[in-house]
Amino acid sequence: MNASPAEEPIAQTATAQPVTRMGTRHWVFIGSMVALDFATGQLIKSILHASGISNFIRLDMFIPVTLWMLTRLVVDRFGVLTAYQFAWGVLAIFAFPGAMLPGPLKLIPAVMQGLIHDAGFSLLPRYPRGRVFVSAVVGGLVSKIVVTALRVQVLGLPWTKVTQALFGVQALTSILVSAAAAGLALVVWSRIRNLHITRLMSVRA
Amino acid sequence: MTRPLWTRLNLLTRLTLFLVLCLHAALGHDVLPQLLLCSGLLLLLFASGVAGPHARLLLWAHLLGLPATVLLFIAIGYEAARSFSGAVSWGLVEALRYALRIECLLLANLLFIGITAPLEIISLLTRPWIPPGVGTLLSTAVRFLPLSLAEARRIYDIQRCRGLRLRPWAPQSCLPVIVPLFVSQMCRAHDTSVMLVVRRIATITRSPSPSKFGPADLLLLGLALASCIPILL
Amino acid sequence: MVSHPQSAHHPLDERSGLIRTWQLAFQPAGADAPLLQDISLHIEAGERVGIIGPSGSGKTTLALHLAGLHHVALLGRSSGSLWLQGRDCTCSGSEGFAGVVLQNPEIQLFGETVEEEVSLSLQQQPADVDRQSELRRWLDLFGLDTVRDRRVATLSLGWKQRLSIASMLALEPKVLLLDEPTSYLDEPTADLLFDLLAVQSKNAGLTVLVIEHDLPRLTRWASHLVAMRRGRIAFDGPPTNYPPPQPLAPPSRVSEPPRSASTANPLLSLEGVTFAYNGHGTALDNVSLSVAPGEIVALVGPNGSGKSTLLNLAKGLLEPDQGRISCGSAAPRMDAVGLVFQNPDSQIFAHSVFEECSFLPRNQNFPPDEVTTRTRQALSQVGLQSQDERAPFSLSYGEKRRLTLASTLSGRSTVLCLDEPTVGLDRDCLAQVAATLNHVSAQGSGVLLATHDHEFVRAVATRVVSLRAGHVVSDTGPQGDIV
Repeated sequence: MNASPAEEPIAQTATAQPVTRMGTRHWVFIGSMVALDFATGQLIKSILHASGISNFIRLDMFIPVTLWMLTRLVVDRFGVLTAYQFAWGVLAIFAFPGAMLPGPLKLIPAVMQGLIHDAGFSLLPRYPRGRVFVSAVVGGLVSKIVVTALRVQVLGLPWTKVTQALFGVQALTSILVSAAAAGLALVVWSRIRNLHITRLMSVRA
Repeated sequence: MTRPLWTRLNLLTRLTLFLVLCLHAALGHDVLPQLLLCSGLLLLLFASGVAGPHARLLLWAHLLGLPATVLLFIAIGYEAARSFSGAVSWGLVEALRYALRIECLLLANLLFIGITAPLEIISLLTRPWIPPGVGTLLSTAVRFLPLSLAEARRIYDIQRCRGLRLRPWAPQSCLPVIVPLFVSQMCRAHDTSVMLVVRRIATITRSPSPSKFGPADLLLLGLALASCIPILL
Repeated sequence: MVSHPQSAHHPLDERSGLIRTWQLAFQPAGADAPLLQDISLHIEAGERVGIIGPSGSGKTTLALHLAGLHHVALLGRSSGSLWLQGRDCTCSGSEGFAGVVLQNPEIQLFGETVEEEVSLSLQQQPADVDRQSELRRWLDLFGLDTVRDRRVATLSLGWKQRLSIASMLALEPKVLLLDEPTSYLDEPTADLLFDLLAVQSKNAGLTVLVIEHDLPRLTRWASHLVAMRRGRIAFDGPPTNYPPPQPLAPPSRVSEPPRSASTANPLLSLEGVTFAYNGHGTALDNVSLSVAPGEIVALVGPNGSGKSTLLNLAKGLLEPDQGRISCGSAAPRMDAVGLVFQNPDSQIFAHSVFEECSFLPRNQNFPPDEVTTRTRQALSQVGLQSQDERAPFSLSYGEKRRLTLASTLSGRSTVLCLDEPTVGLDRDCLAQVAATLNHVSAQGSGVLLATHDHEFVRAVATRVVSLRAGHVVSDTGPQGDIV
């Protein structure tokens, strides 16, 4: 087992500048968010299943996007959501073998989505609220495009009017869900951003 | 009593076999080889005894979803052929091809996760050329999963006592769960990271030691890589 | 404020002593005021130090500084002097100086088996150390040799906490910091843990810092007591010198509940209730009790006796396996019974105190005017009426506890259940809570509270029900023996 890298001491200056380098606590935090992603999905599914609700748009679509945005708001470094989605994809191979795309194919849209989310946050630093919406919506759309492309090119789903219509509906749903989830993330962020624990976990780019 | 072969295989061998099977499943064109591959994987999955009840449930779910897939392809075929009989014959063949690809991928996935623990994958990610945080990230996720589920249930119960009703189409209705849950998770992550630093431990869960490469590993790896050549060519 | 005589000496003149602080202060990042102020302490090797105080008084922050872990676990500015083993550690830590054991053992054990857990720590020892014999030594010392091959996940919380201590001590720190280590443990296990710590302190010269709310236990165990209040030291000396706290005056009752009339129409009634958690042994066995209008019933008993389970059953979060639970009103149990949980951070989510408090009446479909009225009344009852625009996260711990109480009072419940309402509160907050409960009972509602605080029970309860291992062992008036 490797010794842990030396922890960067938390700044003890008069103004206590935010941390700029990622340490153990940040990786543990991101891992804990991946676990929370799975856990809330399980919880919401069990609640909605128990109540007999079966909707086209459901809570378990919003919450993961909200968690991704919040994770990136706390640990504001490029690559965080890529690593997040990679970890999620690896665990999903074990936890949901048949979901989305079977086998290791699900890693491809997951990592692509993470990259787009990261790019959105890092390329628009001057728009603290706008970047959340842009990142969420564009990332969600790219994921749908990649999933459809894989279904068409690799699995052999024909690209016809029927499948185009289905893709259109999924893309529209994705935009709506991502935008709403980004809004929810900003509401949560407004309430927790000044907590000491949030400052402890934060990394600023 | 000798251990089954797959428990003696090195992780890299198992991973390579899994990826090669997925490659065959995804890139194979003809129905007959796909059918043989699917049958072989199904036999292996059940003969090896690694298929748990969830795997069986999943396979049944996919089987039950087959008529819907056939209907979709018939609809697609009708759009192109504009005749019902043509649509049916085309739709049946294409639906079978599509379903076989998905089933092969699924079966390969189920076989892989039946013989590999998530912690073994983490051991692959603690190599010097991979950022040290990635192993910590994955091991944390594995470790925190049951704790997070219990905490989510607990907070949901607390808010239910206050009359919370989750509305599936209203994301703001889950604010009373998300906010305290997120804060609680941050606190837990912080406490855990302090413990890791104090105890000078790199990853939360210890990965099993990788087994050495044996003759079976080399043979299977060679066969697997050789089988990829026709596909790639 | 009672201060230790040695704190008058500037530590730069005397660098002896394992831990010395001089006017140590700490201001968290973003905070307006320091969390620690003017902390001057002297701790020798081998001392057993108990740290007490209400939540938010700075106990954990102080303890982290004394253990040299402030640089890892806190964000802010430390000033003054902190010397650990003769080294200035005010702005940095001291690796290997201290070990930490937290409240919840689930997050601090990383091995698959007991043996592996202790071995993880031994890997940090130098290569020439005989790790196998060290492993045997630590397992024997803590009685873990009988369970060395067991998977950690199958251990009880008491064993897990014992394992946490053993694995931390295997790193051979100079100091061991334990932050409320017995919260989840029953009395015998807690006593055993403290005995083990006392032995280590005596035989190995280990300095132990324990943050606890259980003053009697700390008084028996500690050789040095530090009491914190609002970020400052309120007491520093031998526990025998610690002045006993002012008794809580029983709040004047507006009217005594007419007992004979009230028992005829109980607001909450449990009859022969039995409950077990998914085959894990019976949590409650044939329990019968009732709460009449105007009664304040205290449930007392050790950890694991079934108090919280009973409250959850009363609320309707759980359903009994056998027996019956009924309410005096026609409303469903979820509405008729209010439940206030121990940790306010597990429920606070809103952007303002008013919104937080009005959550329940809004969900109970009261008209908007009535929601406002009920919310304002509830906030007044707990003394938060002037804070309604504040962000709930910015409240102190005591204020948050009062907010969660108000959040339940604003509903239509006729029975108020409280789970450990006094943990972490200072005397002022305790008095406020006692007054609120008295007011609630005077209005005809019933109160059922689960608590370890016998003093609070004597101050507010009209009846005391003792639970042990899921059974009711006594049901008496407030001056009866608390078993």
